[in-house]
Amino acid sequence: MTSILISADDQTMGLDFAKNLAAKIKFKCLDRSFLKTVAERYKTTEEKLLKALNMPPSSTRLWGKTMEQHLAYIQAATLERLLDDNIICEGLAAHFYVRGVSHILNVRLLSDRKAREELLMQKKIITLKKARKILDRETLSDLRWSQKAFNSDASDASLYDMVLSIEQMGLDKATEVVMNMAEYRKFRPMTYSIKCLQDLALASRLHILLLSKFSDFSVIADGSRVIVYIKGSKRQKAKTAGEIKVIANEIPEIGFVEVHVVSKLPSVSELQEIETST
Amino acid sequence: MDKKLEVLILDDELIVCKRLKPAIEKMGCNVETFLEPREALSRLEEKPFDIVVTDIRMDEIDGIQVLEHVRQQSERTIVIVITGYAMVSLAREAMEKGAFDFISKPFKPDEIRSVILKAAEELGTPLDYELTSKNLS
Repeated sequence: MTSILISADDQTMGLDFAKNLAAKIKFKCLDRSFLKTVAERYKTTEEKLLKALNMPPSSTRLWGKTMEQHLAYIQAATLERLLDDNIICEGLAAHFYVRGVSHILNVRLLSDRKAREELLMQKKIITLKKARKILDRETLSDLRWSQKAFNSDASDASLYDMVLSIEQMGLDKATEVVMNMAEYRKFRPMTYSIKCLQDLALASRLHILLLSKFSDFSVIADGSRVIVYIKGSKRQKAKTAGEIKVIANEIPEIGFVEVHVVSKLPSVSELQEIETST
Repeated sequence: MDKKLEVLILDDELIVCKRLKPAIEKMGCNVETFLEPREALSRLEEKPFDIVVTDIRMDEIDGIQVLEHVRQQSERTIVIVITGYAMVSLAREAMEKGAFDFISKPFKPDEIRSVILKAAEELGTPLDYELTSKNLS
């Protein structure tokens, strides 16, 4: 059976939807409670992991290596977990990094904005104008976070297989639509799609190890072969490649490492093209 | 004596047919290979096959058309699609049109054998064959 990624412009609504859907189709729900497991595994705190998922850079706050590292922990742990199948995943930013896996249904929910404004007005006893300002600020904060973390915008419809407006459909109908969509044969796991997910998981593991020494790099995997693109000087290529290969040796599943020292890292779509052509 | 599974392999690359035929025959199946889609389709009219393994990118008739033809002709026949140009849209299209599995090239012999074993189970005629590779999905 397929696994399903849920993302929403209202995290509370997204979580409720995911839990409700998981209960209906008897799937496991992977949400932010998973961060406890991730924290234990990578010997960090849930608080730091949550910050990595929420906190955008600002004029007074740099978004540094710690954030990147914690995001990498979440990514690697989530990808590994998704290999289990029959999972509803919400709140772990998976819609940004689980790309190109045909058996994973990627769903975006658009909240009922008016209902949110009213709820906020009642809860905080504020005017409509103030409520709108708060929600606009949240939207902008989310955008700045996703652009920094993944060079992506969550409102980009091309990230998803379906985008549903809760205002128009209601939660029950939207749940029904997702359940029906998940039944389609095209979302069944196949040898190719499972391999794609395994490749993402392997690349993410190496990504974590490389972060301890490097920045500005991308990793893709194809079976036991990994390709690392790293920003740097061509004069340092041999040294850099050597260091990367030593680090990659720590992962027994990696059989071959190819290192490209570049002046500009390939974009996400360029990387996907490279993955398709390898 | 148990009837052997009949497998048809269609790929316009000779090397693929040459490698797959003995790999699948080793499992106790009868295997016929074809380089030309028209010849394969003509053979499918003459003889029922249990499993068809087809490439996608071929001249004149592509693997998706072969898949559609086979599924129309026989719901029982399992079709496994192989391709060196795998992408999400193609994979989903193949599955939607009834492919049993979709495998990207290059693949190891045990990867295709693993799928053949599952296909044989699905047909209700499991094969008595043990895979050698340890790490298979």
